[in-house]
Amino acid sequence: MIKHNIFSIAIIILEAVLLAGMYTFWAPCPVGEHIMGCHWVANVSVAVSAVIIILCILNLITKNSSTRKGINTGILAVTVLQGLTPQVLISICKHEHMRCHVYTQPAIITVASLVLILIIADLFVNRNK
Amino acid sequence: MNILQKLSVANTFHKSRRTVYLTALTIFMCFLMFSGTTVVMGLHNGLKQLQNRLGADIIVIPKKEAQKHSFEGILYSGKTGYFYFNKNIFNEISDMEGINNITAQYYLASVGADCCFTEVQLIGFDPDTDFIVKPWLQKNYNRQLLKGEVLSGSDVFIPDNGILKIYNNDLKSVGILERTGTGLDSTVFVDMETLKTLLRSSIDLGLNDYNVSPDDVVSSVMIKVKDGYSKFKLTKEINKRFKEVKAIENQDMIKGFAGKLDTAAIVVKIVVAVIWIMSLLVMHIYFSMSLNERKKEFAVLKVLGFTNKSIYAMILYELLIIFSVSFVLGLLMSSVWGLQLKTYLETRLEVPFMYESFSSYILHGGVAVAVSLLLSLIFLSGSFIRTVRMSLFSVLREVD
Repeated sequence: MIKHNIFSIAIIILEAVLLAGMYTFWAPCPVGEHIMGCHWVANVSVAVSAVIIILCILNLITKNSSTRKGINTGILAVTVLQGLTPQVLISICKHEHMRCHVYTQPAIITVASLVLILIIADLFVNRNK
Repeated sequence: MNILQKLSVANTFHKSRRTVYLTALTIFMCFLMFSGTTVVMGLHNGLKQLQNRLGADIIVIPKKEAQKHSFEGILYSGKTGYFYFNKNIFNEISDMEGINNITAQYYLASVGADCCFTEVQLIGFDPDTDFIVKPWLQKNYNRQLLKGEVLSGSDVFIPDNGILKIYNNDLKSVGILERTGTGLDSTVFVDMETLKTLLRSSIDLGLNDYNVSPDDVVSSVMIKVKDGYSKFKLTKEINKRFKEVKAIENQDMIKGFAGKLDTAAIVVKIVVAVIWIMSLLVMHIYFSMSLNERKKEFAVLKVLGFTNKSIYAMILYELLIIFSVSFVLGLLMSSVWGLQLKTYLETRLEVPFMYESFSSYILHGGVAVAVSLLLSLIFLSGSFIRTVRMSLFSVLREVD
C-alpha cells in the first residue's frame, strides 16, 4: 500500500512541515503597526497547504485510478498557485534581508517545487492505470 | 529511430517507477553540483567585488576603532558605526610623498524608523576629492549631489516616493549603487552639507554621543598610492608619524575576510563532494539491482540475436534519456532553489554571494552538472558491462 501511495504520503509530510513552519521557524515578520504583504503570503500558503493535505488524504482513500488522476491534476494546479504566491501574486518586502526573503519565500518555493516534482512523478508512474 | 532506441524509450516508459527513482536521484546530484559550484563561485566574486569597491590602497582610521575591528563590521556585515579623528591629521597626510589621490569620509549611523527600514550606515563624502563612490555608480550621475540628496546601497529600502526619512529629515534617493554583497550595500552616501544637517538633527534628538563638526573631524581617509611607490612604505610612515590613527593596506583589511571565505568555500566543497559520492554509490547500488532483475530480459534478447554491443547501446540510450531529462529538470530546479537559498546563506554565514550575471550563474552551474552526469555515466557503465557479459546459459538455467 505504501508503494502505491508513497508520493501522496511524501506530499502530506512536506506540506505539513510548511504549514507548521509558517507559524514558527519560517514565519514572516510579526504583525505590527503595518500589516505587510508577507503576512498575507503566509496566510495564503497555510490555506493552500491545508487544501493540498486534504486532497492527498482523499487520494489515499480513493481506490478509483481515474479519480486519483483528477485529484492529482487538481493538486498540480494548486501547487503552482502556491509557488507563485510570494512576489508574483502578493508583493513582499523590498529589503532583501528581511525574514520574508530569507525564510518565508524560499520555504514556500522550495516545498512547492518539490511537491510539483512528486505530483508529476505520480501522474507519470500511474498514467496507464 | 532505430530498433535499439525504440526499445530504450519503451523500457524507460514501461518501468516508470524505476525511471522516476533514478531521475530523482540524478536531479538531487545535479542540485548538489550546481549549488556547490555556484556557492563557491559566488564567494570568490564577493571578495573580488569588495576589493574593487574599497578602491583605496590604504585606509586610515582611528587606532582604537582599528583594534575593535569596527571598520570591518561596517564593511562586511553591515553593522553601523561612527568614529572620528582630528582633520589636521588628514591635512598632514595629504602633504606626504607618494600619494596620488586622497579623500576623507565621515560616518554616521541612522536609527531604524519603520518596518522595513533598518539601520543604515551614513557616509559623507567630498565630491571634489572623492574617487571611491563615483566610479561605481550604477545610474547616470553627471552632476554634484545637491543638499538633501543621497546615493543608496542596493540593499537600502527606498519607499515608492524615493524619500528616505533619517533623523526627521526627508532625503531624496537619486541613485542606487551596484551590489557588492557586503555591508556596503546597506550604506547611504551623502555630501558633507547634508551630513552636517543630519548630525545636527541626531544631536538635537539626543541620539548622538559626539558633538563634533565635519569641518573639524573625519572618520576615515582613503589613499590611492602613486604608481611605483611602495604602499607598505607609506603605511609604515603614516603609522610611525601619527599615533592616534592606524593606516591599513587594502589587502590586509580584507585578509581576515578572505580567510573566512576560503574556509566557507572549503567546507562547501567537502560537504558537496562527500554527499555526491554517497549519492553516486546509492545510484550504483540501485542501478545494479535493477540490471540484475533484467538479466532474463537480456538473455532473451541475446537468444533473439542481439549482440552484447547492441545491449550496451540500449542501456546507454536509456541512461542518456534519464540523464537528459534530469539535466534539464535539475538545472531548472537547482537555479530556482539556489537563488532562493542565496539570501538565507548570506544572512546565516555573514558572507556575500555575488554572481556576475544570471547567464554566468546558469553557465557555471550547467557545466558542473554536465561534468557530474558524465562522471556518473562512466561510473555506472561498469555495472551494465558486467551484467550483460554474463553467460547466456547460466542466466537461462536460472529461468528454468
